[in-house]
Amino acid sequence: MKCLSCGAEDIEKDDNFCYNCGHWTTKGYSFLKDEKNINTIKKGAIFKQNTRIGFLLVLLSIGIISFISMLAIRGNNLFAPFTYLKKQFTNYVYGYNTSIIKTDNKYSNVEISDYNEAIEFIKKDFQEQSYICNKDADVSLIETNLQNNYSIPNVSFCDITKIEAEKIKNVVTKMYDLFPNIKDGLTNITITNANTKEEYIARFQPMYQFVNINENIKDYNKINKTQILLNSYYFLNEEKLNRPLTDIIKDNWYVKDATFESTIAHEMGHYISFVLLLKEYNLNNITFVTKDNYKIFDNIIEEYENNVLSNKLLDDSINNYNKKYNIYTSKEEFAKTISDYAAIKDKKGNINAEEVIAEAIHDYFLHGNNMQKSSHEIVSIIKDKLGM
Amino acid sequence: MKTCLNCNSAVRDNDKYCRNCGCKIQSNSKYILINVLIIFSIIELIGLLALFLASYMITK
Repeated sequence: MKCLSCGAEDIEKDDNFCYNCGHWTTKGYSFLKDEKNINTIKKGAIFKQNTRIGFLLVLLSIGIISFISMLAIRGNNLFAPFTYLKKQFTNYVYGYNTSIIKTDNKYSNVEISDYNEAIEFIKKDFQEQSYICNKDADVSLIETNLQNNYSIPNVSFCDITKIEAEKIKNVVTKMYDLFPNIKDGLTNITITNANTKEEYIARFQPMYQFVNINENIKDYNKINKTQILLNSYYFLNEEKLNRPLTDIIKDNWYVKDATFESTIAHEMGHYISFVLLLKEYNLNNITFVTKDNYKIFDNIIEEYENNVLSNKLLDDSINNYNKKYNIYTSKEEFAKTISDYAAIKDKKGNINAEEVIAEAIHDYFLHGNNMQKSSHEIVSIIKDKLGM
Repeated sequence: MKTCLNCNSAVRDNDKYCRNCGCKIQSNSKYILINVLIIFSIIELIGLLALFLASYMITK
């Protein structure tokens, strides 16, 4: 027989449907008249499969709509569990508490038109990372107060204890009290992971190229960060902080009575030295880079890295010291009176003036007017240059 | 010899449709794939809900 629809040959008399197009045959027409036969077919796996396809599509639709809704409700916080798990895994791998805040993000092709936009971008970068932080209200308040009182766009003490946050706050507050004219230069103070666990306790970074670093300055303005970094290996791990500093740093390396927290004052000493250099150029910061100022900023960084101003400050301090006490003191002897760290030498075998200044300021922070006489000379010149 | 997935009737090699119930002849793999996708979708929905709830717990 032939199929009534497609004309296929070899339809057999017992066939209900054409093997080629699925159309019913003459026998099939009678077959389908009986509702029992139709019900039997509908109970078959293919029909069930088609129902399942419909069910699958409904599930997928619900999934997509749910995801979009949840994303609209929670925003970035929806992915917080992944960051949390990543943090736990990292802590497990490293064997100590680590920070989730990265200070070395880079962005490109970003349109930044002025300094305020640059500051807002820096803030946004940190805010977007900090949603997973342990939101202790007291620590958040400390962060906000430091930001507002000292014009620091971002202070991030993510996951730190309240006690430690207070200690750091006290250091920063005292430093700004001792040297009030140093605002507007720092972009952030952040607890972050150092490249190696004991690389530093705290670190001052005068320039971190943050936004549009590879773009042409004629096409895109750029953003630099000037930051103080606090090593999570210490500041997020109480058992490390509860040890004396001399457990990890040899005696007399830092000035007497130094603590983990007071090393922040040493780093702020570097920051103060940087501020003095900025003031030589009538600048408050090097945050917003344009085609009009990028060369000046490059000069500043080069001078800073070559200790141009700090060497001059140190020379003047030593001259004043020698005149005042009617003695001759070499640079090395002068530095050694402050601390061993102050007396370290650079690759050329010269005393690193930056470290002498930072340690002198560290000494002043810890001991006030009872600081070393050598520190006193340095601090006097610095205060004079800051207009204090 | 193959059988129809729907009614288990015998199917000849060149048949495109079952001669007994008229369903299109297809392999098992599509059937299995759909079932696997359904299971994954259900797991995905449960996972999404768990993620949503966990995001509140972690960021509170």
